[in-house]
Amino acid sequence: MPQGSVVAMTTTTETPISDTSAAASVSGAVKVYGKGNTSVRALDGVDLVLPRGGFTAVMGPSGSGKSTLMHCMAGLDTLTEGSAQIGGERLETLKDAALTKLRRRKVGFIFQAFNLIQTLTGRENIELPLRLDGEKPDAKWFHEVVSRLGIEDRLDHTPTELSGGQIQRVAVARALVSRPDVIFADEPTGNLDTTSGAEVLALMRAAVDEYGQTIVMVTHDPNSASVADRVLFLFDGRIVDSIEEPTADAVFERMRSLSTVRTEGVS
Amino acid sequence: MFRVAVKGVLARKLRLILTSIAVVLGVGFVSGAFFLTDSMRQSFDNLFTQAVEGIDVQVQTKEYKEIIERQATSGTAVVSLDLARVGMPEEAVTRVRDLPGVQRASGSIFESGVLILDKDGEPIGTGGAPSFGANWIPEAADIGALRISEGDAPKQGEVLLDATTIKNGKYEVGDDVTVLFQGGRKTEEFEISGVVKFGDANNLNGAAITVFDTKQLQGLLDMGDRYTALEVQADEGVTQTTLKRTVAQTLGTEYDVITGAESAAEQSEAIDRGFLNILQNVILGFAAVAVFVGAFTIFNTFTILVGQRTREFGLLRAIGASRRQVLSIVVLEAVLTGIVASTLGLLAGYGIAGLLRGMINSFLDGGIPSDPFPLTQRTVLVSYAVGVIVTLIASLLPAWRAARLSPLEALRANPAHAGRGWKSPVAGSILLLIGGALVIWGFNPGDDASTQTVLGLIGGGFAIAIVGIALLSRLFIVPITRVLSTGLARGTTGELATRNVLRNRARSATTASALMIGLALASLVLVFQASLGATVDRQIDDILGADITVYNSTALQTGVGVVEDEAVEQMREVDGVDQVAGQRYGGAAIGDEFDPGGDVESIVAFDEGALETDGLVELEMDTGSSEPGDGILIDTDLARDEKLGVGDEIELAFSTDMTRSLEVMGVYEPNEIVGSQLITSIATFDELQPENVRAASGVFLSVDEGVKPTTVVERIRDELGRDANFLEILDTEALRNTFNDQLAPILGLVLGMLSLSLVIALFGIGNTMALNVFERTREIGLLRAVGGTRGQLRRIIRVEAVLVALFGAIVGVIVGVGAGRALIGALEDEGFVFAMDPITLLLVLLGGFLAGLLASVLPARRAARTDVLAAIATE
Repeated sequence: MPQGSVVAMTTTTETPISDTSAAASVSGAVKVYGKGNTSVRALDGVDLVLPRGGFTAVMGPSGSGKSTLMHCMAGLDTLTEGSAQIGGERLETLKDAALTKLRRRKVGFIFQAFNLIQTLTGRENIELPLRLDGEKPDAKWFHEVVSRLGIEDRLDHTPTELSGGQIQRVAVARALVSRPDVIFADEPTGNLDTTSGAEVLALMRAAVDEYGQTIVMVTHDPNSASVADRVLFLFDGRIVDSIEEPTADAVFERMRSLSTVRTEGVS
Repeated sequence: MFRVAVKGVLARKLRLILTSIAVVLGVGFVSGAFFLTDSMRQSFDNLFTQAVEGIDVQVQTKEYKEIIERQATSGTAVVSLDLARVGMPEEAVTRVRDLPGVQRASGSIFESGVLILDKDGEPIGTGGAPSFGANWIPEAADIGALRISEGDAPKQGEVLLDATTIKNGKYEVGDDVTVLFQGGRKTEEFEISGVVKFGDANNLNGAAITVFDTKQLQGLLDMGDRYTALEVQADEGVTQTTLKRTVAQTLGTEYDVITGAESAAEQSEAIDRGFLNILQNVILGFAAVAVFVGAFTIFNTFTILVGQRTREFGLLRAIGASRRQVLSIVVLEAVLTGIVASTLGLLAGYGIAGLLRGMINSFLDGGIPSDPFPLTQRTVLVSYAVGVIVTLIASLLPAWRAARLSPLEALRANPAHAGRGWKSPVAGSILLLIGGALVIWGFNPGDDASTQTVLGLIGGGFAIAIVGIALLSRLFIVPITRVLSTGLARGTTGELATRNVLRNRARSATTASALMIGLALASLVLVFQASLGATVDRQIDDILGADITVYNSTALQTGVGVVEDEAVEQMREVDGVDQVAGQRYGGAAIGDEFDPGGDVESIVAFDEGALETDGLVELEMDTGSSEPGDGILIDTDLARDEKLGVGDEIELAFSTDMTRSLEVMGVYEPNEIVGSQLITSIATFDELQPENVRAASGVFLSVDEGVKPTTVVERIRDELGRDANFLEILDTEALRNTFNDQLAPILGLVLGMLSLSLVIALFGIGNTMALNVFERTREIGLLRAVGGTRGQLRRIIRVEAVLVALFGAIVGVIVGVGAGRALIGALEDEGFVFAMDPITLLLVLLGGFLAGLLASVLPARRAARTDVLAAIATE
């Protein structure tokens, strides 16, 4: 599936965080939930740089910390230790209002469900982040995005009148239209049937290839992960492995071996 | 199922409390009404029990008692009291004194209309309470209710004043004081010989009391050697009933003989049937509004809560719960909520009763004493019944909806979507028609309908119509909200708020309805006030040709207040006065028998010239002459009812036992300034009426051209000197203000009582908004994730609440003005004119705006604090 794009990738700490070629990055990321005996180390020293124009998939068993990593990188949650940046801006120095504005301008989101505001039409949902900023979308770019995603004729419909696949495509359009530094996708195809899921993934792939968009996707599904340029494997809050230019089978094998490690670790 | 219901209630404590507030306040209003009136009843009972201390049997003439009772029930004094004729004769007192078993028999006098002037010559106010004169009974000095707390018993030329009057008049024992009798017909100087208390109280529940030497008081009240009552004390060992029998046998059927205990009970009952009953019903009426508003709020909350739990019910159904069981869970929850809320409401009632007492005291100078509020069985029962039944009724429809769904439908349900389609507007129209028909029926009830039936029809009809309007209002919520939002809800946040209002129109409309009811009533009251003002203006401008009106300001306290003929003559001489005419006012019965307890009409007479064209009172004649001459003028209503016309004779009987047939000289259109259906000449009037009404009850004056009425008012004051102190001398502007001043406190009280339903509505909006925020947690999380700031989230909720509240306020004002228009239309025959004051109505809208703003504070904060991660987490 990889279209042969150049992938610069590293998991070492040598890459400086101020590297402006990176769309987003974290270094020494630690996230601890709770206190004392009951505390959980959801992230345990993660270093990650997302190069511009790259499509990264994050995999791992439940509780491995992949959602936490995404939330902390996207400015939805704050790190206990370490630092995160998006488009050159250090997140840990920002207060809530500034973080919110950063999400508005530099981040796009695609969630598994509840992606759209029920009362707004497709068009209004797509324009929402820009409108919240008091901006208007660039008409040409808007048209380009919606026609590429094939939802031109669904723009005046509300989410209740859209199919699951159409809803996710509207969500992709919303994420693209503000030209963010990075798009975070959390199980974007988790609620879709196989055909619709494949279509949405292909469109995300196209966004990377044709528009140079940076995308991070958290997923359970090896087939989905194989669309990415590389797959990172998270286990117990650490990046334990990665595959470049993955195939579904390779991803599947790696996941199985991770599960085995875990089972053995428990016993 | 009981356990499930209890757990359901406990799991939603906060929402339960929010829901309950509506019930708590409504029930609190109901119990508060009872607390307050029970407390007042108790203090009156104490007073009346004290009043009969040392009195085992009390005797009055039947005639006197009838007149007094009639005055108490009708509130007016069209029947004048000739005490020399109807009082208790000395001879009867002597006869009773010699009876066996009688220890003491004393003639007592207790009459209203004795006014004390302060040192500046102004009457000392009693805040609307009467001002009594009583005789000093030396033999009862140590046993009766009247006790001298300072100084000595009054001799000729001396009086005892009650402690409150002494204080208010800044008098001391030994000072001289001027006392007014019969509305100023007599004035006397007295020396204050001491201070009197009524039992332990400083005065008689707000009423003033002045005690005189018996002979002197009899002379001043023109009652010969009579009294108003005979009080008898029994020998030891003789019971009240035995003594009553003995006295009754001796005196015969002309006299009303009762025991002391019966007397106290009778007075208690009289005040119960009269003033207290009215007060209680008025407060309960407002309480009903509050409960009604509360029911809307509860209905809305239960609908939302049940909607949110549809999946839970689906699960229960899937694992084998029957429809009945699901229904019973919701109903049980409602009952539990009702019980908890009623308990809190009962407690809140104490506070609300205190609040009501404060409002009545400050608006109406009520002088309600700060006695404790007694908790009676009735208050407890009614409070729980109201709280539980209202909650139950409000929850039935949502419960039925929840139970109706099949398990799978319920599991799949999306709580945010609940369209009701065409059914609601149709049902709304039907309810509106039914309600409207009931109200119209209430206004034209037929002859044998009781007041309760009428009030029930109007109140019930209004309630049904309001529910109809609430259902219909959702038809207009889209256009009205759209118009409002172009002004108030700009930008993306405004658009989101607008969409939120419109996403569930039924919910928004019901939420708004709670506010709509209170504001509709407030608007109705304001329209009524404006119309009343306009009506008074019209009367003053169109019917009253006079520039200055004079009447006796003590009329309220004395029953009869007059302006003496001499004073009228003095006014005639004042520089700048053109015409002067007095109006006499008395009572007459149609037919050949005057029964003070029966139907008594008012009858008036004007000084010459008053009724002529361009005269002081503009009488519009239907037929005949405007001069009564030796005959009489009647109005068109009476002419129709009695089938009389010009040239016919009408037979009238008077309190002087005279009867007279008078020829109808003319028929006039009903006239509010005349205020009576019968007009005779002064000569006829004076011939037939008792001496004490043979003087002007009001005087109309016009001024010479080019002279300012205010200047003339000052001149009249100077001319009359001290006599002007108890006369109201008003130019048209001041007269207008007097009407408004009388109305303002009542309006204030009404609006004050309505404000409690507004508070309930405010909680209703807040509650719905809080539930909306809860329901939309995910959406709020999504908005935050894609870049909505906390401030923007707050703004969305705030604008949404304001839009809902303003919608309610607009519908409320429209409904209120519409109802006011209909009401004034129904009263057009009585001379009412419709008017409204746009400014006050705008203030009502502003009130709605502020209510929305206030209601949104907590929900908006909660929305802003939504945890983004928790909100967007999948499942």
